[in-house]
Amino acid sequence: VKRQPNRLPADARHGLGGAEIDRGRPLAFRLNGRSYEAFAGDTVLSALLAAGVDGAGFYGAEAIALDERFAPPVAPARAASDPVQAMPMDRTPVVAGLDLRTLGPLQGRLPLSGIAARVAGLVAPRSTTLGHRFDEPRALLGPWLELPAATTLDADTIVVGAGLAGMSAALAAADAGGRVILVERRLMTGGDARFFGTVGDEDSPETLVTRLSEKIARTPSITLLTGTDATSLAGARLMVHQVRVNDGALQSRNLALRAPRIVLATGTGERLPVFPGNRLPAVAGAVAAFHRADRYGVWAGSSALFAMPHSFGYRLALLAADAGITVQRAADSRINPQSRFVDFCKASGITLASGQIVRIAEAAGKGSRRLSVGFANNVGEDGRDTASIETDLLVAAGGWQPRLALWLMAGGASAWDGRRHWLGPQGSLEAVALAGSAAGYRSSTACIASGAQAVATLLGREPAPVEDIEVDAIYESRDDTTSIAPWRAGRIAWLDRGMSFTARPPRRDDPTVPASLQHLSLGDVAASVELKTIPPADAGAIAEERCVGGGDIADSGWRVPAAAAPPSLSPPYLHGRFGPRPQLAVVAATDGRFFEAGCLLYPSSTSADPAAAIGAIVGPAPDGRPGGLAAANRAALAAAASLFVRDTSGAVAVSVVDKEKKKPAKPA
Amino acid sequence: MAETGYDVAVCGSSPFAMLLAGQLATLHGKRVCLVGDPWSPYRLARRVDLSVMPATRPETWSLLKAGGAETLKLLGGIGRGLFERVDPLFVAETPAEVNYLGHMRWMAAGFGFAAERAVDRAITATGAICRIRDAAMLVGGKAEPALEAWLGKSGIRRAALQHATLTARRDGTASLTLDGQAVEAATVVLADDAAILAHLPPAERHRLLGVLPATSLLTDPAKPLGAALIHYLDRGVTLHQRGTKGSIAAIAGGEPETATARIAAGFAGQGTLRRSGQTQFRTIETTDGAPFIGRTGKSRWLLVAGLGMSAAFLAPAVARLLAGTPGDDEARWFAARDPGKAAQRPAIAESIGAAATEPQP
Repeated sequence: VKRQPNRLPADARHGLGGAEIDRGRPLAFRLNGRSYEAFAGDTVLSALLAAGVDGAGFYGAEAIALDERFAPPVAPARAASDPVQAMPMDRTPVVAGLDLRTLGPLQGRLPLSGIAARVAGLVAPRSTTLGHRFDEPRALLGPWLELPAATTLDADTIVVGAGLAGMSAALAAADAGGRVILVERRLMTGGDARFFGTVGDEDSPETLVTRLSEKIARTPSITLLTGTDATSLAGARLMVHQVRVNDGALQSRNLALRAPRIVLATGTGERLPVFPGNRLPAVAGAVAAFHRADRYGVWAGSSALFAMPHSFGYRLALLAADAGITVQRAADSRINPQSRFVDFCKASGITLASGQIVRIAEAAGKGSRRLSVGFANNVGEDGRDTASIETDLLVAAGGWQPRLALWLMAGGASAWDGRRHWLGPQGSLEAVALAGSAAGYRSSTACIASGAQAVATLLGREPAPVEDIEVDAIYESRDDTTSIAPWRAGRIAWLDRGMSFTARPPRRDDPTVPASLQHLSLGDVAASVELKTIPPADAGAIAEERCVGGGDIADSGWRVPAAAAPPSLSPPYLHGRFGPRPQLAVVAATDGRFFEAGCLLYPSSTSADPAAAIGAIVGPAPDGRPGGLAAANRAALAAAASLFVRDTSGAVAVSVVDKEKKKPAKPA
Repeated sequence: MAETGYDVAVCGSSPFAMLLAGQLATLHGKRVCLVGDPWSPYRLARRVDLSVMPATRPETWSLLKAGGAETLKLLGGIGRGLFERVDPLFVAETPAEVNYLGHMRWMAAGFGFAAERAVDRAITATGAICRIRDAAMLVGGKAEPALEAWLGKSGIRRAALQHATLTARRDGTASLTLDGQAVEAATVVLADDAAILAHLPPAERHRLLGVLPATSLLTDPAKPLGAALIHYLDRGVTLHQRGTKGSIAAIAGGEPETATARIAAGFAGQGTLRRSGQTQFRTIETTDGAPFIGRTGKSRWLLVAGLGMSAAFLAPAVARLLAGTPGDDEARWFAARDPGKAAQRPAIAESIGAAATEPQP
């Protein structure tokens, strides 16, 4: 497949040829005027990665990778300005005849459309980056987030996430009776179970996913919505955005889902190791790299370096080596890690390096797509540098962070878990429960059990206890923290993938908050705790304040309601100022000017001390007459030989032209 | 004075609490501890600290004038860039608030503040705007760490809320357990809303004090607002933008259900902004809108509430009150705002609507 250089062969071992794609059904589509080849089953993102497009664009001078957590939205080229038709490329399946454009500002050039885009696509050299500019914080925001729901669907239980825990929860809820909506962001079920593999003698993830998926397909009370991302949760209302193929055409729409019970089986996200160059194209997380290969048969280049704080990456290194990739080194931040996969890698001849972390990644040369990756010994800021290695792909694995954004939106709490090095959920909610790895479980067995447990809890039933399986540390070393490279001047190290673009503070010991505070992700907060710029005790509260998002904000037309009654002439804030019973009097100047409320009344033209004022204008004179209505100290007004109101032109002589006879009303 | 322990335990984390504690120690020679969580750079703002505020009483403006100059001098000695000069806009949209704003503007002008009427139809088409030029505002993110460093140098013990326990006695003193160590405090000051909510049982809360919800919201960088700081009197909303294209921090008092709409009403012309954070918290408000400074409840601890956005700039005067050395004007101002003299409250009210709470016989 000439134009898909990053596609693994169809017969790659372990199924890394791509389980989702049908190589017997090639497709072609256009993006930004250029044509790309793909297979049925591809998403726009997987097809681009297969074609060698691995750059999303630039943040300042830094190249930014195109990946599952960071890709510009796309829209049909003929309707690129219509937010209703915008879609995320990781959830947009390739269908025949697609002609799309990416949305957002471009680096150094204006977006082209129509024939101009096609001509540019033909004559321009094939680029490996989409060339967008992300310095503008809104550049990547999905336009669909601002749209109203196309329709509302009601159910008895909503489950978010169709991994093992989510599917288990959906089946448990269906067994309990009632309608269930199961929402999955990806186009397939199974979550990240296939990446994590098994613990002990568990069934294989593939077996478990197939078994649960088939049960769900056979359960009519469960509606599975794939390609559907949950964007906000308030009360019993979950907003989701769905991309689906309808009569051969793509459809993008928001849905409002309502249910009295919601299970969040949103899984865990992989943290980004902190080192300069950590978001360059050709740097990928372990889960993303596995998913691309396993589902779509995509792997960038023929050589790879692995850097990881846990043993899951070794399994991926083994799979990649078996699929024909040259694994140059598997570096582990742990000293002498123990795992059966470490042993397998040793036996396979893969070079292992323990106690090492990535120090820096940079382009191997000007214009080179290869990376030069430097390592350092994992001993904190004093880690000694080791020689750099050139590679096609750096698989930089991080630790884990439960995806708790919806939990926080629902009012859930979180706190830093120093043992597991993540922000974990705290407490419970009446109508929302967590399940699976979002709730902190690790093994497949525990995740499946926790789905049923979550449903039982929401139904008010006695939940069965969930027992996680954990291999003894003698045989399976515990996960390390996400690595943080020694500080390096003048180089940007991002704290998380995604849209927040929070960077490591530019000075080693100065956690000064940048002038433009932006959205923070949970990964940003977790990294900041480990960088010691956020105290652990504060992390939960900061996550609750800064990581929820809650949608965009715009003037909705709300205005201050009109006052039902005119303002009081004796408001509380003037009470006692001019005696217990101030005299209301109309005062006027000879030039017919009008006085503004608040102007002060003095017995002398030289007085300017507000404390010496004997009255103040409290409203306009009646019947539109000039001057103003003053409230004044009765005795002082009677004794004053002359009167002056101070306005913008100074002391203006006035006279009393009318007095109110009756007592002023008590303060309203 | 306590034989062992502290003369004053200041409870609070706000710049006012820090300035109060620091001045008591450095200017008045008191042994002080500060009980409150340390400042966190990533938490959303609960307040702005401005040298002017909505007020109509001449004695308050007199105090603000003196307190502003004194506080800026103090800040200048603590560090550079801790405050900035801004021209805040105060906006009124209903006739009653327009009148209030007029009284406030002429009062400020009478005390030498550069208060002027402004027109900006993008902010309000039918209401009134008062601009006060050259006001001072603490720079959030710079002032707090500098104040914390100053407190450290001043020998003030700092204890996080979770590591401190206060036990009240009826004479206003307290027994403190700080990080497991028992000490005495001769005077306890609950110096900000969070401290009052944390340490004063609701049953002991004075009837002049109400607890209101508030919302703090942060946007991603936005187009320039009409001013760095805009305070909408009717909406109960304060918008603050750092720099001309910085994020907008918004604080809205009152019911959370309408808070977002009230805040967003100030974003006309901004298009859609990305919300980068939001939280709700509680504030203490006085029912008559006037400051409240005095001993109350069974504990007889000193409460400081209702100082509004100028609290930090009134810290020198409150420190003198606690040290027993207030000036004559200050002594009168504090006496009138002491809850023990509730009969005088109507004469210091600052609200436009509800009448000041009448004293109970």
